[in-house]
Amino acid sequence: MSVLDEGASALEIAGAVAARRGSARAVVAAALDRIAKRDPTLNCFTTLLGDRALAEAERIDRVIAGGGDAGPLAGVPFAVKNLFDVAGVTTLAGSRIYRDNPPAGRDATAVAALRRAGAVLVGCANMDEFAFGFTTENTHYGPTRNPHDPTRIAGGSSGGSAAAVAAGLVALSLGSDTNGSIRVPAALCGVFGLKPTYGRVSRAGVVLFAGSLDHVGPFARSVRDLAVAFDAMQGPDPLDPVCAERPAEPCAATLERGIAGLRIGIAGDHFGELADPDALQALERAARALGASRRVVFPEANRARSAAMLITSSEGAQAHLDNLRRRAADFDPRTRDRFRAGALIPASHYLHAQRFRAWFKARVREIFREVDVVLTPTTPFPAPKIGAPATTRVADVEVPMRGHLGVFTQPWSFIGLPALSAPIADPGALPLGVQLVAAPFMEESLFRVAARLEQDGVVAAPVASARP
Amino acid sequence: MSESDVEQCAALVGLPIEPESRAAVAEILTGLLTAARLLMEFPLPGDVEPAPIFRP
Repeated sequence: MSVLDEGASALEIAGAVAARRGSARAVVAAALDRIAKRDPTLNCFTTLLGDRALAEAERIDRVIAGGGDAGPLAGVPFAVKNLFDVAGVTTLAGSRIYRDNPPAGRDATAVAALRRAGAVLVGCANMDEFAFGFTTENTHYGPTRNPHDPTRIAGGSSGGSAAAVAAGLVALSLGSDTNGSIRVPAALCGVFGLKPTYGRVSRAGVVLFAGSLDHVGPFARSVRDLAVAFDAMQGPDPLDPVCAERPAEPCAATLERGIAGLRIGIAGDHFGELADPDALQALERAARALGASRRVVFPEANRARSAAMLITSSEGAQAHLDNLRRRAADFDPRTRDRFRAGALIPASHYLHAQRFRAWFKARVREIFREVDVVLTPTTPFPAPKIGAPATTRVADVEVPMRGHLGVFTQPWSFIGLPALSAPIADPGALPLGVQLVAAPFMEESLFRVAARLEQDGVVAAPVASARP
Repeated sequence: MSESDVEQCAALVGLPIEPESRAAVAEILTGLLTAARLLMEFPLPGDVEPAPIFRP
């Protein structure tokens, strides 16, 4: 495969650019061409940085021509959700209100880390306003369309980032995840997405949604690309007050270690209910391939989800209270009243949710002494249609179409556990993901299991071509 | 949760909500309070402290 092709992996590109078998400039120009052709339909990008990206690619080519090392991601085109600060660009966070803000003075820490690794930022990606949603049906900037079926949502809130990778417009992207906003679009678009442990990757220079729950992480089309991107970003950062001081623990070098010694379970009860049969079958397929049969029950997962919703709504509303008072009409109608309702939650409920969080974390920690990786479906069903009705029926129960997308992701982000969504290989069907969850800072275990599934052909992220 | 409840709660936090939006906010808040009820009825031990991370 040529590194100019849409399906070239980040590491194939970086290897070819470093060996001067291809130029970063040609790779980036090819990515910009693909964006020009497909993005008018998909609407992944809200800002394109074409000239800047080409200039950056030329700089990388010069470094390599001079015998220098341009980094492990040399010349790899990437995109970021438009809530990451990018020097010289106004950070929109999916809103109309922030359009009036001055451009960011510096890159977010995670963006700077990928650029230091040689990756080339080509643009900023669409999202739900202020990250409050699972669909990227943004009223201001239009919906991002699923590359597998443009009549369907890409998922959200990091929908533009996931769809851009799924469509082969870029090899890597960054998103944020408060309740599932990396894992849900990764599953619905058929790509890999990692929500690292809370505090593992710096959020400095990122517009927060609900600070006590916010994470950032990468999307990619291969496990190795995902690991290399994660490794480039993980580690302490004094600019983010919740970033862990624990040194980075690189994962890419551990992928060959296999799964020997890892105890793998299947999350039961809550995680096996209120899902379409296809989603449960996808999970079983992954479990069979891994030889996993042990059911693990996490108590009160549904209450954990309720508590996550209360904390999210309260903290999100607090973050935007001033604009809710002064500029309510400028909010997306899809988020405005949800933020307002969040502002009216009693403090006693919020604090009870935060206390429940400590309780749930302690229970789950005990369970992870007996198991290393737990499998769940990522979402309960594949991507709904854009503009779908507010509710749907799952297992004969009426559930909110959009909110229910996070039913299996929210309990884990609630307590900051690392979770990776891997796309089940099933050509012809709409994408579905299997979610792998581990104890805090055990991303390595997630990558080893995902690598095995990928090696066995159980998960795969080929470039999406729209079905008829 | 009625529209007038929303009006009164919003006044407490100084958040103006135009009359035509109050029903929608009331519906969403009702859902959140239902979730809260599920949570509040769970008997947490008295020594459980809230979870936010704060580092001085």
